Amino acid sequence: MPIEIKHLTHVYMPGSPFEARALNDICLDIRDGEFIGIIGHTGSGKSTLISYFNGLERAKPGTVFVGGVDLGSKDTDLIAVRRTVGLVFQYPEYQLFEETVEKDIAFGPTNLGLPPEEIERRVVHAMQLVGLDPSRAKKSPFDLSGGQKRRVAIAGVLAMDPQILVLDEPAAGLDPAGRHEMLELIRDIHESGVTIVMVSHSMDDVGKYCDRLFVLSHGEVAYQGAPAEVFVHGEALNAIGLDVPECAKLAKRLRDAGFDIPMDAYRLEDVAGYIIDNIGKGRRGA
Amino acid sequence: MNDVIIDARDVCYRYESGLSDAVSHLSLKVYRGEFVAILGRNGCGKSTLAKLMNALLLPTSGKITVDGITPANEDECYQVRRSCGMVFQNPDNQIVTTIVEEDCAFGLENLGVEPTLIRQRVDEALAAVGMAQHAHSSPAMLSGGQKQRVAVAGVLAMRPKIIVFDESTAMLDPIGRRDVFQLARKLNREEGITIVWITHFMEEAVQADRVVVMDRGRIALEDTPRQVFSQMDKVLALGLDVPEMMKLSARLVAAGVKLPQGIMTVDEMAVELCRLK
Repeated sequence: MPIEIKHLTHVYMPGSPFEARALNDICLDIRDGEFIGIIGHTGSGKSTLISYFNGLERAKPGTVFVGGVDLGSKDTDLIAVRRTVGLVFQYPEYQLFEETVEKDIAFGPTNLGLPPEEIERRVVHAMQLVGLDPSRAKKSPFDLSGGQKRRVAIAGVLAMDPQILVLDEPAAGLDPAGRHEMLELIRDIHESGVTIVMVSHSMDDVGKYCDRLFVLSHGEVAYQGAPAEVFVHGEALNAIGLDVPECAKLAKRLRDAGFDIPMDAYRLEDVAGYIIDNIGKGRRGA
Repeated sequence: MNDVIIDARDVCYRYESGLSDAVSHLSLKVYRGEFVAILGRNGCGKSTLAKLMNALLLPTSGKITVDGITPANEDECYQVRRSCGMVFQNPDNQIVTTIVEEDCAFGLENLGVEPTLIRQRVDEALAAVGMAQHAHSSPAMLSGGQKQRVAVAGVLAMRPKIIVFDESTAMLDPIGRRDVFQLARKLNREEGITIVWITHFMEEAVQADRVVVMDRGRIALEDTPRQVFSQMDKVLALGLDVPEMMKLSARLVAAGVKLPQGIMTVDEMAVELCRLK
């Protein structure tokens, strides 16, 4: 179920003194099974962009196609689209409201009018996917820790059985261990066959997990490609308020100092390997 | 000791609903003019400690003295809150008015400070955080980082000796995060304000004078950033992370590269490696 966006423009508060162009002629495509990262500073248009992915906004200038269906068309069944594309907002734990974890997760599928046994199956499966122990099903979600609450919220979206999962800053506010667990969890969901679109501020995180990145700046796609292709633009990324992973920075410094390290090295393991090769060579030469 | 500004002695705090102490027999001294980072996984008691520091909570047992006052009654709590300001995580939760400068003046107005003096202090505070040009804006039109700077200005206008930042950069993007952190450093260096900086970001902690790591209500590690992060296994076991360069360093050392201990930054690493080539 690919997403194809062509020439999408979004203007906030048109005609008012606060008129702002949040998206400007965006073109991008997301293919089945990809793990996509969308990166950009506050106000770059990330959150506006993802609200188009499941038809929360209708494209006026431009088109958005999900699985070949035009979300801008009046005849499109947006409810069906929202089943296909699950959106997890920032701090989704604030949206929990039910008495128990299982009721909260079941809310979406219940509204779809699914038979009880199917709802049950989906709740169990979703809890399993996000790593929530079944013993928590009857507990109040409000008694859980922040990280656990967030898992319940994500399970609620997964229970809709989406083919594409869009997450806005899923690791924000978590401690380093919680952050790592959350990202590993998203990787598991990806491996279960769901296309992932992750909005993030962290170049380290998208570098580690994503196949392909879109870097947004002032409502436009400034860079796109595999992480290694994007990180090559270190200085330009700095200029738009983003950072490259530490190891990419080090690799550049060392390259400038005469080390032989390829332009696309940014992973710690790879950079360590190249450094060892270089130092070894130096010794042999000496 | 004259230069101890916060002195916690065997402090315990247990919430009414709590089964165990959120802060447990904790002793900690913070020195005047220091920049201390407090780290620890969610639920380790960092925020409870922060609230004990400005008398939003009072110890269940033990004593905490802040700028010479050991708060016991309401009056003393107010005094402590005047010398120890606090900036929280969510900027939207601490802004109360619809105009930036009015928000900044809120605390002073509540103290009944004279209007001309309020005017002067608010202008100074907004200038200090670089938000003077937004004095008449609505906070709703500001970015997260700008809102946090307004929150800092509101605290600054009260002329505190200490500011506790409780994960004040957690909800900000990299630019907002850097701005607010640099602002705290500037207030520390130029105004001599003591800073207690609670964070999950290791790259912020490495720039502090001292790092305190909490675990289950107690202090697990306490030293300079270099000393703390050198204990990589311990730090990881406490649910934290170590700077990327320290991980790289460990890997290189394991492969036989002769590097000195305690490399934390890209600059340090680049210099050492260039020396070896």
